[in-house]
Amino acid sequence: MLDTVFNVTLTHYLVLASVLFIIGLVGVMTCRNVIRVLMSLELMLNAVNINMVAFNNYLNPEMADGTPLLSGHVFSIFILTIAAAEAAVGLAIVIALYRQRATVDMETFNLLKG
Amino acid sequence: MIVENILFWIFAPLAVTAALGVVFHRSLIYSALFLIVVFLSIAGVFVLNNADFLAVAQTIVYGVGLTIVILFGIMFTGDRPFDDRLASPGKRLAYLIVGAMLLAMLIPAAVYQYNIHPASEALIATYMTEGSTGLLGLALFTQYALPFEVASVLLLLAMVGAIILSKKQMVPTEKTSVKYALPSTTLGSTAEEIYEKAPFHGHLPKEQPASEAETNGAETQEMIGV
Repeated sequence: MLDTVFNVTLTHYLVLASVLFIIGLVGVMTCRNVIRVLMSLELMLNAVNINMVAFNNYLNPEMADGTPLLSGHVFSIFILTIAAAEAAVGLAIVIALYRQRATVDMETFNLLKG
Repeated sequence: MIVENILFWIFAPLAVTAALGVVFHRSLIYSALFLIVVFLSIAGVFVLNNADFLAVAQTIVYGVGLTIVILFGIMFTGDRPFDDRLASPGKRLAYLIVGAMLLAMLIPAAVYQYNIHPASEALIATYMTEGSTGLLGLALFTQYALPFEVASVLLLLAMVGAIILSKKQMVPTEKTSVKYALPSTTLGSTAEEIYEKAPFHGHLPKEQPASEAETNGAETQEMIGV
């Protein structure tokens, strides 16, 4: 029993990824500071990256002629790209909001509220 | 194999505890530093999965670049210790319960047996000698060439958008008195009137006097040696 827990398999990586994802999700839902929400969002994206890489390592996708195709790594790189763009734009929005409201509290951003 | 297991059991708890620190630590700066720990341990997990290039990219892009951007954001907005929790404790409790229920959904997934497709001899040989970088480049420029180009366009757009969003606004608002904008009463109807009434027109010569321009031209000609 202890041995099956200790020996690392695909399941271990998937559990790690989902635990990180859920921690990030709870952070996004429960935090009021915009920057902390952004950080939790990065956690969630990273958890997905772990998922992709682990599946790629254990399932070893191939092309039709048998040459290995690292699809998981490629998806992971795209997620990395999107995360970088998202962080830059997100922080620009935060700074614009901070100029407007002088705070980063999520619950004060009700500009469109009737 | 035993080394891989031990390393996993170092990196994984480290990542999880640091992630908890990111979400629940009181100080934002400490949260950002915990985030670096999470990123670096995830880079370690990537190495365990034969993704050496991704591990290095993770360290550079996330561990260094992104956290510096986030730290800049914290510095710009001030690490003001306001209560970082939802106003109603009931809502917060509800969200925590949602998270716990999602975690509970893991239990059936954790006992599921996956059909593993073993790595071919050639792939293992490639991993042992040159790593995954060559194969990754091959995939990026053949199978995934179009998404790759789209990603580059996306990065350009994000860069331009971030600059536009975060530059100083020229329109005066209540909170920020921007000194570049003129009060509306000073504005005239024609360009001449606006120019005459503008408070800064003393610093901008309207047009150079003719004689001065001529002498300048003569000096230049002398210097050139015409």
